[in-house]
Amino acid sequence: MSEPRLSREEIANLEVGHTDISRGTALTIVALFLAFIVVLPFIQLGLDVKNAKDHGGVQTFEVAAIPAKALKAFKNGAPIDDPAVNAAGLLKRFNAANTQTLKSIDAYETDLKDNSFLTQALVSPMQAFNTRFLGQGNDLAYIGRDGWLFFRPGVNYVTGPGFLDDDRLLKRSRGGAAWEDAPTPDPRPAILELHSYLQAQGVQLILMPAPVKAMLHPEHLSSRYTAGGPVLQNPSWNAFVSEMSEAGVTLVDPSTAMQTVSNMFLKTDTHWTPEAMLAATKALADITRDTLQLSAPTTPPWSTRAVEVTNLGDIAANSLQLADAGIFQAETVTIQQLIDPPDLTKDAEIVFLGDSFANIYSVDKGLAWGDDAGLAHQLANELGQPLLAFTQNDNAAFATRQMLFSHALKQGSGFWKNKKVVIWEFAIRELAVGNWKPIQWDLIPDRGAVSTHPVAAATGSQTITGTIRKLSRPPKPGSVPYRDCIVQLYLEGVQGDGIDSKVALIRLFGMQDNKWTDATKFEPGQQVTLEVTDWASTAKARQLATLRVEEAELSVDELLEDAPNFWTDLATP
Amino acid sequence: MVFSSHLFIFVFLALALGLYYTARRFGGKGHLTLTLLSYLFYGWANPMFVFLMFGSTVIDYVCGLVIAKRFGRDWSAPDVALEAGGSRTKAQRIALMVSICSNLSLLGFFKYFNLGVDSFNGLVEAFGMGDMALNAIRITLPLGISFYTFQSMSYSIDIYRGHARPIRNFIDFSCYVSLFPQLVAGPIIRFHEVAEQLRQRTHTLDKFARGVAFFCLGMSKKVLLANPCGWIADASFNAGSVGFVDSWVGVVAYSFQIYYDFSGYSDMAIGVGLMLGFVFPKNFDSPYISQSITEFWRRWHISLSSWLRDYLYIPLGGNRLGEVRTYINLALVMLLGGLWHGASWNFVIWGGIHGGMLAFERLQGKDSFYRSLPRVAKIAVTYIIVLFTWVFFRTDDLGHALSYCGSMLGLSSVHDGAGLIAGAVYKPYYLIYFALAGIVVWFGVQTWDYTRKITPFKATLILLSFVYAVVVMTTQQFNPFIYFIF
Repeated sequence: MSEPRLSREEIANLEVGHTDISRGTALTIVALFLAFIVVLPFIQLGLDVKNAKDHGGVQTFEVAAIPAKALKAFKNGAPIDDPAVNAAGLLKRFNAANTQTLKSIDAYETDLKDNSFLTQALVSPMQAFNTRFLGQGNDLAYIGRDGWLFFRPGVNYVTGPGFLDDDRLLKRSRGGAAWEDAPTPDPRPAILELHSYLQAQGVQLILMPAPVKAMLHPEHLSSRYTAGGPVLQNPSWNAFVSEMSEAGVTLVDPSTAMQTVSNMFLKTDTHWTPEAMLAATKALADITRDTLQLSAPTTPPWSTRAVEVTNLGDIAANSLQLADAGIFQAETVTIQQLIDPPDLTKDAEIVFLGDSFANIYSVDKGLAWGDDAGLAHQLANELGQPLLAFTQNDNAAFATRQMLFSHALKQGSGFWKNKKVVIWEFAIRELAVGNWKPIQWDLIPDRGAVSTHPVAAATGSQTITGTIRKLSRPPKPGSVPYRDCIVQLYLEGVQGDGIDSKVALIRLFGMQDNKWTDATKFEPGQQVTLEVTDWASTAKARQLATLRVEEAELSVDELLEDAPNFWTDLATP
Repeated sequence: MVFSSHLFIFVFLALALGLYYTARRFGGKGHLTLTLLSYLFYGWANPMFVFLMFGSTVIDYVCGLVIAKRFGRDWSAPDVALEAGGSRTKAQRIALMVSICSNLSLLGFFKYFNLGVDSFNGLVEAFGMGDMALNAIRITLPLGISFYTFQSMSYSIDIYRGHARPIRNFIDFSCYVSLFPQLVAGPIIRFHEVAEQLRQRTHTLDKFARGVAFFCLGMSKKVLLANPCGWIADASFNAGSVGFVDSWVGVVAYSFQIYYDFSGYSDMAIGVGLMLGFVFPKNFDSPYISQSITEFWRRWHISLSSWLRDYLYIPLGGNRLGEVRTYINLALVMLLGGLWHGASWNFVIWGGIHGGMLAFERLQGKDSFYRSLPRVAKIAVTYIIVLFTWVFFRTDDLGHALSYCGSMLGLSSVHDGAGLIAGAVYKPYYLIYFALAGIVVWFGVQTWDYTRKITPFKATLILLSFVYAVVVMTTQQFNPFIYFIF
């Protein structure tokens, strides 16, 4: 007679009951394991306590603040006249509290890992070892061949599915964290709505998606390609070009023009070389001239000088954070700097929107590749006339459009009176990864051009107090290809000498040198006292205007409140 | 909160072990502590869903008491199992139906609502009535709902069948349903498997040490093998199109990723369970050395396949109702098994292929040509079939799955940029771990066998691999966990 079959549980019990291990080994493995999982957190706690003053509290214990934040969100979640009968309002409040809790949990968990002494001590050496010997990049960077580096979203633009594929658009529109608005993945409505609005104002729109490295230098990433081959594109590109053409939007593809130079991109940086940028500028200028029926200036209005700039690229320094590892060499390029360049913040017939592909060589701050020689400057020189430029590193799908909208909103539709064209440059990868949030251009009031928002004080600093109504948060350090980022505080109940407004928009560093500043500690509803200076003059003096700004999500009404803009260095929560 | 995270290892686990053993020291079973910890663990993913789990727990607890006829009897009387195969009253049958229906409704609503809406939208758009599409409605899937509803149901069914004694103590029952080590990704623990352990279990140094070994090895499998393979798989599967070689590398990498990811998590769950005195049965048994799909399902996600066998296949008649009915039952069970994994027609196809293969292998009989092939050939054939099914499991939609299978057969067109994938994944780092993963899959021993005898050398190796895994986890952002979405 056969033995009865043992159940899975019986087998497991038998197995565990017969572990062959000596008491000494068992004690050792248990003791070492427990020591590892207990001692490290205690060391971290000790360090947190030591740094509590600088950080405004013990970081490990910040978990205790999560319920209080949830309660606050519950109270602010929705107005309820009679909670007993207003079920929908109550549900909204629960949802607000839950969403806030999810957000707080995510932030806490991220902080716990990223700010632990273990992470701080290990990330750079491990990344350096893996990059040098094993060719491993990270979430932002691929290690190419012969010292070349590639920004991962740029490669993904080329290898990924078509950015206009219905399935992809649907999937992206359902992405994002629970506490964030879902992204708007389709670039076409945003472009076409701007085009329609501009058409109604009698203004042309010219688009120039700036090519990414993987399109033009695939041979430096994969040995399956050779130099000088065809330009690689996303599968949806041709369909996009056709749709733009049918809608009457002028589209400039500078790839072919760029291929006339040998090195089109910097080895360790996301961006193009000065030579490739000049080739792209010429292509853009030619089409702009054709569109506006301008003749080429007989002599360039601004003279230039050649300046050598040496720097390590943003992928090596920021994405991989290997600036000091000695793995990648700094590159030297020669830029054509405009002598006595035009002021790109002054009103002009040509409006230019651009991202870091425009800022590189134009704005040394943040990018460190020299001044006054970038795309907007060179385009002005090529066209023989100044531009009004709105530029910002990153988020080109929305940020510069929003900057233009805010500017025009305050000026009224009269702003467009003397405008001929809007030239919009953005990194082509934005078509696949950008958040193309819609903008209601028709909200721009129908009135003549007026001066911009009131300026508080031309020079010098002053103290203001106010309560934070809205604020923006910086990205996680190391998760973006830049080291500095500005955030905004929108204050209400503002008081201060010489301030005639009840509201104010304050800008300050949220991230500096890949580290969060104390600006991340501000909360809505908090009263603050800040030492501020006028934003426009400070931005100009310190080249802050082109840095990535995380915009506080202001409603149109808030934008129309005409809040004075300030800058603060001092964050005193 | 995933096991392979700073928060779990350096905060939650240490806290849980400390509180649990403190509670036991003061004379309790530690179940209240474990339940509270488990609710915290679950609520960390989304606080709203703890109410859902609590509701499901209450319903099954009450149903269990009704089935066991506990109401109206002396509460202090000892719990006894019903007579197996005995007759049941109407109230008992209704209570069982309430339990099953409530769990399946919960699972059905949260898991398949979106699929229903998407299918409806696809249909109305196909008939040119796109304006009827329901675009605004989306439901968030509660974490681990597939696992705990199955566990909860098994309680009522086991009590009804007389396979286990009911639990009077609500805390004990809550502890069983919510037990954090296996709450969100299994293994699925059927009630009768842990019923006695909830009443009494032992805590020994050997058991704890083996638990540590399980946890450390599971963590190493997850971080050191699953993650690099996942990187390769993502590069291939996220591409718009992919070449012949890259598609095979991608799907093999995915097969390694899902195996190490899930079996690593199971090992960690078993390990934490052992540290808390619980013994959970084996969930994986070197599945890629299977010589047939039938054998594969004896080795892959064993807790699910045995659940489906005991609670679905056998009640449907199993192999007792003739050949044709057996084939239908096999196919049906696997189809439903596929659907259990996720709300997508791809999962249905994945389950359908497996079910079809199970029926086909049974039809072939013991004297088929296939059975006469050498062992290596049978392993290879089985693995290749499994790889094709993984394509349906990994991709988001049927179009992508078919196009990827086309690439594996050299039939799909490849766009110019597809070659860049090579530059992204054929790096020493990924290739080393990819090769190591393959070696361990086919030549290594699985965790149960490896930890049966723990020598000082093995203990050192286990701890070192754990420390290295923690270092890698700390320094890298890429740390997905596949079964968290099921």
